Amino acid sequence: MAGPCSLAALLWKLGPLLAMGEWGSPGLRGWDLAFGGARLSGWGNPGPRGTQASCAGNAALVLPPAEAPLVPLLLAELSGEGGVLPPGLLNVVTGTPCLRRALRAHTRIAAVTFLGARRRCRTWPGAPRAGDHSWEGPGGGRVVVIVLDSADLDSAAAAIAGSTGTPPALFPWGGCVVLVQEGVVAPLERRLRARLGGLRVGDPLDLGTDVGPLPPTAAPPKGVVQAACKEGAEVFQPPVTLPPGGRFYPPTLITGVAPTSRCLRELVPGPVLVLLPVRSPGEAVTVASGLPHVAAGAIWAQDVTLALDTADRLPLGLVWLNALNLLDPRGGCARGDGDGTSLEALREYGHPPWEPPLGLGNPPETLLDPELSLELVLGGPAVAPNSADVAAALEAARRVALGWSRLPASARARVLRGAAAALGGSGAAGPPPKGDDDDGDGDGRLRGALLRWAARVELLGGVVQEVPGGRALVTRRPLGVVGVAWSGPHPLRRALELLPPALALGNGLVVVAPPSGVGPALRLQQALVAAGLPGGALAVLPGGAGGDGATLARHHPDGLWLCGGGTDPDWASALSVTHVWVPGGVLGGPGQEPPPDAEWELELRCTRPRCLWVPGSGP
Amino acid sequence: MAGRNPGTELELGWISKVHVNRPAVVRHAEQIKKWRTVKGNWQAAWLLKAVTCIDLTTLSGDDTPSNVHRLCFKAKHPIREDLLKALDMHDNGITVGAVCVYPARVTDAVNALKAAGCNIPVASVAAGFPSGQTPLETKLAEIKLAVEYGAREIDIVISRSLVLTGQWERSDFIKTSTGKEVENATFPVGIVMMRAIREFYWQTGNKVGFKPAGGIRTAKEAITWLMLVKEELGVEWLTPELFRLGASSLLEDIEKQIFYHVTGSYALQHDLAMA
Repeated sequence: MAGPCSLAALLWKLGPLLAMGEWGSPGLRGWDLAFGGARLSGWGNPGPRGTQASCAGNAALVLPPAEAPLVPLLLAELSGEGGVLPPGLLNVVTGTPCLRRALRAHTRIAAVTFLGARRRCRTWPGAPRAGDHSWEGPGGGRVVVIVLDSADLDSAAAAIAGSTGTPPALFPWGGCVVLVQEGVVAPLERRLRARLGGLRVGDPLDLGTDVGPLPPTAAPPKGVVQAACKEGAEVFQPPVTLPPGGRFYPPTLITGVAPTSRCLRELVPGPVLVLLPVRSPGEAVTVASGLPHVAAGAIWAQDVTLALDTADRLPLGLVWLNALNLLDPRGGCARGDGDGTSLEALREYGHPPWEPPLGLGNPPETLLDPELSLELVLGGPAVAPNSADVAAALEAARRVALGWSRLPASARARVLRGAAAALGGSGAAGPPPKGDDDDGDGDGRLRGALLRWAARVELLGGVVQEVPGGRALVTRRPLGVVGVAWSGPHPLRRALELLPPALALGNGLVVVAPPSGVGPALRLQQALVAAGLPGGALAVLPGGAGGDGATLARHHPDGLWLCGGGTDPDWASALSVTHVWVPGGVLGGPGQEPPPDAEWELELRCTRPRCLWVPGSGP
Repeated sequence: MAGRNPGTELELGWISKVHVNRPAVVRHAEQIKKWRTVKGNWQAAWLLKAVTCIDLTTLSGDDTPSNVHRLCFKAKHPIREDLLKALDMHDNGITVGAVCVYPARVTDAVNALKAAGCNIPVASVAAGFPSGQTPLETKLAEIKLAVEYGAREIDIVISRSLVLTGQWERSDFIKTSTGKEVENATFPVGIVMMRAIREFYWQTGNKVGFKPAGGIRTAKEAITWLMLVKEELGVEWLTPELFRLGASSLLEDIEKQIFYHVTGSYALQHDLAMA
């Protein structure tokens, strides 16, 4: 194969191209991207050089959706011409949906990535394996714009009208929801009407036009607009001339609707803007959090403190400040859920060296000692957790997790240190049960993990990317509530050591433990609560039978860690959860130290990125 | 000229409600430059429109009757006759919008324009141009004299010390700058002024004119200014009554572009009449 770095560059350029191709197809059906074939090296050192060198050794097999196969085919054709890519690196196969089953079952496919709306995953057979992931990606949502009363209304109106007309690759559905503070609704609406009237509808390739045609196979928004009219909303459509033929829709502004209206509950394709008045920045955040299908947000306000505070409260991965739809030219903030740096995006397509090689005919294995019998490993008869208990535990954890994550890092560190001290003091409680650990020092290692993560969380930072026109602050936020399915036929040893990083970084946890693990887990819980952890932030439920992962997934935690091996939940329930992880050797093998990059990996797995665009002094 | 701005009560509340986000405005200006470009015949048409809005200006210390005389004749025939004929615009009476000179030269300008048979207005700068740091009495005297000499428009320099201390005035037409500063008419500044004009129009119904001046040298910039006016204010503002480009060497560049459009080759120095 050609040099890894040039391949990396090529594939990296392809990545955003592949993502942008989604512009042509509606978000309802996705691409299936699979990476198989040889993996060159393992995980490099998590610096740009190393990742570049390692992650690009994949070959790809693309299954485009049935309605929009042309863009990927064109891409494949172009990559082949002139020898841009070596033959066999990018393959596009079109066909019927049953191809997916064949793809999934093929032994040489190492991992499958699903691009598109999650609900399409229900038709997928089989279970996700380590390394598989889905990427909601483009088409996953729209932008919500919050305009406060200290905003530059003209610039906000210009930016909103501009985004209505030319949706960038990120949000092919176009249009957005604008939440305006009551005092400035009328002036903003007036400006929006003036700007919408100036938009030109026509051929998207013509630089002089602003609004292109609707995405293919998307229903024209006429029905939604009519429903809005029936409810008494005001619909403004400037008198633009639509080009003949083709599927064009005039720019539309809908006011006087409520969050119950269809235009707010559904994703509306085309240049449709919905305006909603709110009374205060706090109310704007509440309404924005309650809207479905929101991928990113923008805040317009000249009062910098208020703007930053409101931005912080929005539960979105990507927020622009006094700007809209600015794209990092490297595609760094290219995902709707704002996946931080390009580094992390590349991570998705490689696998770390401590994991066994994926696919290639080997079923994924967790690291366990085959000598021990199942009974001994589980440490007792298996139990299935009560679904109601799981729901209650998750609910309690959610209530508490927000406050826990809002505490300053030093407060959380203090709790962890206190728990470590408490655990150390409980050595008199007797030796840990057999079969629980390799060298019997589970408590010692757990203490070490607590102390390490207490120290680490105090130094947690982010990344600042300088981009033309400003900078993007990429910080990490906790996932929320993580469900840990520790039980199963092959429970991962030392899974308790996964809990300190999750808690330190501000998550709540609901752990379904095998009978042998319930004791140590409860001890850990007691130590933490004694040190100050809010009650409910860490819940331990007994389990051990298979299917615990599915039980947890059904209640939609923010993250799902499958530490039990074997029976995994099927795609449908797993992919209703955003972050599914099958931790393997990240904690080190039996009797070994964890690998050097493990802490960084854990940090990434316990958090999700949050990108805040702050405009600078401009060009 | 547009109707006089009857004015309103000075509403300081309006001024305090204005919020401008500078980076967003700068970004918008950059985008307009890229998105709104015209080519071919359309470009020629926009250039001719720009010509009709030019305030052909000479504000040098060494202005004498002879160069003012030359300027006024150029004002009457800004584009070479045969070029206009090729565009079929020779019958449209294309002249510049006005001629702008110092008060001492207003008489010469008025006489020259009369000799050329042209009724475009003579605009005079006044009120201690360019610094504005002269007493109010001399400013008023200057304006009175300029009007007596025959100027139909006056470019008044506002007293920046009053502005910087928050004491505002009102006017019929607002001009970005004297053209004599280091940084004159930039697009972000123009955008902000135009938005203020539109807001004033929405509040009072009175249309105030706009004139960017200083640093506008190329035809491309002129077209961008016209595009901005169209975008921010609307087509009604694209007339000499409400929009002027304060420029001296701009006309030369526009004429060169039109020459290229008509003949396909670049003009040499002797091809185009000097202003």
